[in-house]
Amino acid sequence: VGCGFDKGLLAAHYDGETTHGEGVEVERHVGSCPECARDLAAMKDLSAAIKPLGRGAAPMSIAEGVLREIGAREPARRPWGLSAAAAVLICGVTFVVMYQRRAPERSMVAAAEKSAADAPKSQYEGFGEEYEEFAAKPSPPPAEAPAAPGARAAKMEEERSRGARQEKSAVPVIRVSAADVAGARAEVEAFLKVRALKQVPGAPLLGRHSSDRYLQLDLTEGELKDLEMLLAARKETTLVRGSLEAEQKRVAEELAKSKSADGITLGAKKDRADDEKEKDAPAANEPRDLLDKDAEQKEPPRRKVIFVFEPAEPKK
Amino acid sequence: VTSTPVPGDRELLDRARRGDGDAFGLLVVRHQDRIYTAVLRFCGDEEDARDIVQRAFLNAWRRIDSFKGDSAFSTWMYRIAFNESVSFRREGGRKRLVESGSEPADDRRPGDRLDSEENRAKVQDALSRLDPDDRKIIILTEMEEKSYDEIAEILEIPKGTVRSRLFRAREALREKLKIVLKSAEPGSIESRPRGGGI
Repeated sequence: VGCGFDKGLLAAHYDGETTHGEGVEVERHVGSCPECARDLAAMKDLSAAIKPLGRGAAPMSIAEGVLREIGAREPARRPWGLSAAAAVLICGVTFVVMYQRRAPERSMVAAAEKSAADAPKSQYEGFGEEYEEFAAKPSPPPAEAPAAPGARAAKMEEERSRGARQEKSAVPVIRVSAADVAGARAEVEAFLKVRALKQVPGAPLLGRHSSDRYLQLDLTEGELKDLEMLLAARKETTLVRGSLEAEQKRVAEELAKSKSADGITLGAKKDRADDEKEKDAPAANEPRDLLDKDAEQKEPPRRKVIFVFEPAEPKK
Repeated sequence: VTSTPVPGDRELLDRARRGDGDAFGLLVVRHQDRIYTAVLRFCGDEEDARDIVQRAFLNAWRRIDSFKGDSAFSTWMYRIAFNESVSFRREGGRKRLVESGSEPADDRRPGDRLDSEENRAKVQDALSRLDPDDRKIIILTEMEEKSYDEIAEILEIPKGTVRSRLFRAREALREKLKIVLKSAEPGSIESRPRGGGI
């Protein structure tokens, strides 16, 4: 025989689902009812017992299978584009999942923290001057990229021939604030592999000590959008798109404040081995092979985009 | 500095309704982890969960026009995925699903506590032996940390039913786990910590 108290109300109070008045009622009752006090403790025990089951990452084969099915069943809707894009997305998912699972092994966060002491006072030092030099140079083509078809090469050349000033103002800066910076960074690297893209080498913004912090890419609008969506889908990750000028202004403000503060914790050098790996890593051939040649020839123009990675502000 | 125009679920859904498989693919990527986790806990088998979730997303794609957008996409997906789980089981699945109600051999004495990771399998097993409706509500509350309103929407039951069913479901699971209660300390009621919703 129970005490007769509404156990649903008790559970609701435990789950934070009661009104203030109901909460007071529960508190008052529990204070004098050992049975309900035990029930509450039991709920707590149960939550603790279930918690270790945790969350899991979905196997990559789920998205692969779905996209394959969609691609196979909807050819009439998008005669060529869907299959090509779906293939790229499938591979994207594959690499993203692989990278996410390997993230702890890579332990970039640990490496970054370890060498944080060697980092300059501000990761933004030299931002302006270096950029002027960078902006005057055309973006070199990816070293291992296949010979660009005529139309694409012409478009790329057209892009590059824009004046430095114009280019400077056109460069979007995407600030990626993430609780798991290394994971976000790994996601971008995975994306680059999938799309057979590379970082723009010699990017002055990356500086000597901030290769983990900045990433400069040559992307089409579509690629940029996809990459933003992948990053935005990550937990505790926010993206803010701004202009280079706005970023410089922000940097200048940070610089002014950085004298007394430690500033940003990330931005340390990556392992040299990692850098070498990155350099030597062959472009992912398979995804390219999956692309329609027609689609490749119609590839839209690319432009420089700068990603800035920073640890998310801790929640208060 | 302006916010990045990252498409939300609604925009992707609109695009998917117009036949954009890429947009739907992004929805899959965005939601598959949480749907997979819920289904995995529901059915207790990784391979089954993978098949069920894949079927659920394909089902959603085929029925995308019927989704009016009154609720969140994730709410709709949980519903489809749970329904798919039940169908999967009805069809026989891979024959690995644990029959609810069947008790495994357990030499644990009533005084023993579950106190380490080695018992995760036992917790999953106990969960799998719960009545399916109880299982869903436990998963959504304890693991997915959904509010009662969201649970009511996903399971299509009144909020009051969520409240009453949840206490009973917890009792049933506790019984299967044979957890011994800690000595209660009246006067200090600690609410279950709840993470952010989706």
